Amino acid sequence: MRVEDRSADARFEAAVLPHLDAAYNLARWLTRDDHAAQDVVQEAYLRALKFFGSFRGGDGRAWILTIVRNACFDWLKQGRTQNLHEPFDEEVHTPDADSSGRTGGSAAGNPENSAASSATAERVGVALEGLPADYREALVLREIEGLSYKEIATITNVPVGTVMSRLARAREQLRKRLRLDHEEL
Amino acid sequence: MDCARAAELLHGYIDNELDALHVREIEAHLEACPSCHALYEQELKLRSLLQAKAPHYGAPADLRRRILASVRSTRRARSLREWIPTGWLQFGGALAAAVVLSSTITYYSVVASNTDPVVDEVVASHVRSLVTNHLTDVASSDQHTVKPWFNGRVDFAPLVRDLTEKGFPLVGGRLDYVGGRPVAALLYRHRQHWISVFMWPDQPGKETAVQRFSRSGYNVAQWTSDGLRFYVVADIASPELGEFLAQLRSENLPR
Repeated sequence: MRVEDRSADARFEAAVLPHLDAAYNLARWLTRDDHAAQDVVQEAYLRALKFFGSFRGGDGRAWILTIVRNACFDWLKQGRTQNLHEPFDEEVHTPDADSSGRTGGSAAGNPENSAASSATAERVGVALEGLPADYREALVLREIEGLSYKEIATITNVPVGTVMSRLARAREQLRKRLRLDHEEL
Repeated sequence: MDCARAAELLHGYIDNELDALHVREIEAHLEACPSCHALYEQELKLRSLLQAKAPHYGAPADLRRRILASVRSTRRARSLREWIPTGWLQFGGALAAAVVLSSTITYYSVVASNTDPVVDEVVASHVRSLVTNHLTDVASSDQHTVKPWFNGRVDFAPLVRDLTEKGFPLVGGRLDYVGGRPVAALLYRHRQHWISVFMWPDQPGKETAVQRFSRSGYNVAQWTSDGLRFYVVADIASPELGEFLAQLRSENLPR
């Protein structure tokens, strides 16, 4: 038993800490706030440590992202932001975007951006943030993290078919928000 | 297939999630239906826009530090409460406690039959390199790049081999510290698993047989050959580790 505890501790760090970037990215998109994302991810990792005994090996990324995702929705439900299905109000929130640290594609990791393409990144970021949370998380997990439908279904606790229909609706809404049907970006 | 059904399956198609039968159906529909084909083109455009422009937020370095600190303090608190040493033996106190425990708890001695403290150090170093994403100082699959990198960094010529064809590609090397001295650490990959090979000088000409055991869920092997002391740490299964060792040790190596 005690020997198992020792090895479980080492396994914990090896299984979930390498996925911290993916965890933070998901939390950042769901909470739309730097500080909230950091708090939620830290909370999620402590939850994960506590319940690591229930992790039976396998996909550490899906496991920690599930916990992060649930922690995000707990945070959202605490009424600190809008209702899950209510679209994000761009008129109200866009002015906050820069001061709250959302920096679009000009942020860390995209040094090649010109001013014009960073303006496009800004539009894409604002449009994606404007989607309802369940559409947003499906798109972020699919397009930014590159996860499969099966992994997304596990993390978001819905059938694979629901993942596909959510992606369909998410992309449709995003196209409308970006007015892709009418103009080139 | 009607257009409404096609519009939904289109996403499975774009995302490479459809089975062959549905792929054939939707491709036939896209060929026959200009409006669905236009939608398909729009979806491709949206996807490339998202993948090129939507930011991936990396975890701030400060968050990484905070999480490591809180995970470890939680673990330390829990360990003290339950009177169990931590599994993460980079703390001197925990290390001392583990040595004491290993001699007092009977069943424990089975696992701790190898009380070599270096084992804990190399396992901790292996895990730490994964956790902190500090896998290599010199990233190259070319042994003729990696080996010279150690010139002037360690006072011996490390064993660096190209085992790509054997299924163990070289990823790179890094400088590490074990037992208070700089050592060479070579990193190899096997599928999704990492293999760390630590080495430093032993007595010239000394040879010992390979000893293998597991520690903290990792398979470990150690031996001395050609005057170098070796420790291998990996999370691959025992037979695969055996194969790796056979390849690594297979011939007389150029020095």
